[in-house]
Amino acid sequence: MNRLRSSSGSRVNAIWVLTLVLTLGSVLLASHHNSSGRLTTSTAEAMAVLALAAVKVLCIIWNFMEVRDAPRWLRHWTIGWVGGLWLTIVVVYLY
Amino acid sequence: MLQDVAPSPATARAGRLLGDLNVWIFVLGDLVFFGAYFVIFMVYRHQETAVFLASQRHLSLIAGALNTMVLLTSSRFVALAVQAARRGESERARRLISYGGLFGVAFVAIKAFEWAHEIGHGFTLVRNDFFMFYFMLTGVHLFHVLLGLVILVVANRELRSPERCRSWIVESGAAYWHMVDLLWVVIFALLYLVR
Repeated sequence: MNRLRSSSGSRVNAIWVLTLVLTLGSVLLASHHNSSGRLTTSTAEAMAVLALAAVKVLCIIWNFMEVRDAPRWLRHWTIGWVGGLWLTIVVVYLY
Repeated sequence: MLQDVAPSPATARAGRLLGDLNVWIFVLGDLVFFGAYFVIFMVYRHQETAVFLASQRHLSLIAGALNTMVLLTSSRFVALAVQAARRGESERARRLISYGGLFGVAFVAIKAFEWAHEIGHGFTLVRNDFFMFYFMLTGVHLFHVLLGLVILVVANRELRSPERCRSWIVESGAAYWHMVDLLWVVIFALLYLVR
């Protein structure tokens, strides 16, 4: 019981720390100033910010929402939602 | 105790839901609704890039980042609460859910402060399309946070008597709260970070 408690709690804590680090990383990416002192991001930085957000969303779905243990239809549906949404956002951003 | 920690081999193969199927249908419907809203936001952003970029500079990156970390921390406590409840540790689960709720209240407070700051500087719903999306998206999300807080209170009360605890209420509440968290992660990226 203690081993199970320790391993499942450690996983949640590890995911939590990872998402916090990714949040700080994405803020740093979005904190560049251009020559006129305004915040800006290059296309590559914007793509990196979106990628970090996608990883955080997948971490929440897979681990906090326990979709990793869910029926196959739910795993496919949620991954499809993330993939479809991010693909659409990136296409519209780059268009 | 909510349920055994180790599922049977048959359950493991078929997979198991965190909470009730009806709540998941609601969660998936919400994801579709917000997903459509995010895409519409990006289309408007594409059409009015200069207005959106100029308006975005008036948002507080610090407040947005702080709220992201606050909700992620809240989700951590709620995830740990579900695990504690499954082991039959009702008191610990209740304490963890309460911590999760307190961080949810902190999110509301930071958001209220941020809105007051924006409105105080004349950036209201009717200022332009960017602020229309800003207040609508964050407003609908805030409603979800408030509803989530009520659900966490219900889950907390459910854990008061472990012997007649309905597991689906605690787990469904957690699934809903994590959805609120992940939606904010997308809102933060699109409204505050991507330029």
